Amino acid sequence: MTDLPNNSSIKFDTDDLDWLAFQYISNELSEQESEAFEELLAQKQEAREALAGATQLVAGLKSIECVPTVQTPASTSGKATFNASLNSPFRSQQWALVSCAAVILLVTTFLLTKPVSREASLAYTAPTEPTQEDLEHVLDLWFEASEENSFTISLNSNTDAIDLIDQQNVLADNQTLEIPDWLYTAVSLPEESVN
Amino acid sequence: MTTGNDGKLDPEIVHQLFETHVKELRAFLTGLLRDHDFVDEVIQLTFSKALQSGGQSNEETRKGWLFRVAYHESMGLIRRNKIHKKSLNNLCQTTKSYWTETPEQRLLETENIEQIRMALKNLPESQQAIVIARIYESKTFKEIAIDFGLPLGTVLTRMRLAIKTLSRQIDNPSENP
Repeated sequence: MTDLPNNSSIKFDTDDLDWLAFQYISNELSEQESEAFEELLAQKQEAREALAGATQLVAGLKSIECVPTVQTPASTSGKATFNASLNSPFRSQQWALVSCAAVILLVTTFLLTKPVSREASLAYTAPTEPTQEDLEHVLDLWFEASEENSFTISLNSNTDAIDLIDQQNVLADNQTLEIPDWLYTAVSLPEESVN
Repeated sequence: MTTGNDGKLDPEIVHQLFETHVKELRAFLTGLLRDHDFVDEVIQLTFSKALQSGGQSNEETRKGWLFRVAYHESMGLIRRNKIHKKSLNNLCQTTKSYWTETPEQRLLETENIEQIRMALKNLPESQQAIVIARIYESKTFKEIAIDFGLPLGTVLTRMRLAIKTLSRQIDNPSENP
């Protein structure tokens, strides 16, 4: 203990200068205690060095790049946990990289699957019942196209396309109206998909 | 070695004193003044005085003499400018780049921070929790006591022990387990 001059009634435990210095820089001392500590600083080099050490300690603690989390327990015993970045600054960088990679992967997956899902949703659109007017309109267009006979078959055409053209020619020759299934489907599709 | 009997100190000696003690002196003045600009001013005044009258001090006690001069200059500055004590917590967030001047000093700072990190990690969990809440969450000791359901005296004691342990381990890194 040290009795300070100037009739100061405050007695400090000079064996604990580090704690005193920490309290001083944390503004936890009263005004009277601060003045008493400043008088101690004027006299003792140990006090001055303790203040320098406490300042460096607080600055160093603040410089640690970590985001500490403190679990406030329901029980009386406290428990604190740091995240992985306290152990090493590099681990926090690794976590950041992994997070970014995961986000990029998710976004890429979403963008790639989006058109497929759109097509799938269209495929699963329940067909609506075609009206008589819709049927007649499509049939008119169909006859016009077959009369013009403007179909060309490329070497790469698949057999479905050839069958279609044959079917149209047969129908045209026979002058019978057999409405193929695809026509119904075409009529049933919503206008947005056609456009 | 001084220049004449007028108490002046050789500039080379003052330069050596500067290189040796400026970091600790700056930390001391930061704790006292809480303002980087005032710290710079006082450092300049201190070493100017060392040039003018540093020869009056003994070589063995020159460090103490420097700190004493710096203290008195600071007190004068505080009285003249009526400086209000800022929070050191806020000041320390901008201190990282301020401490370093050369790559070698920057390396030393990294080592110091690593020492502090290890020392903090090696603290008992009960003390670690208090330090985290006080330093990083800027909670008062009263708030910490309420959050943890502990008496205020227990919180203060744990913090006191933590500061003592951290300070000792930083001064003597070989003591780290």
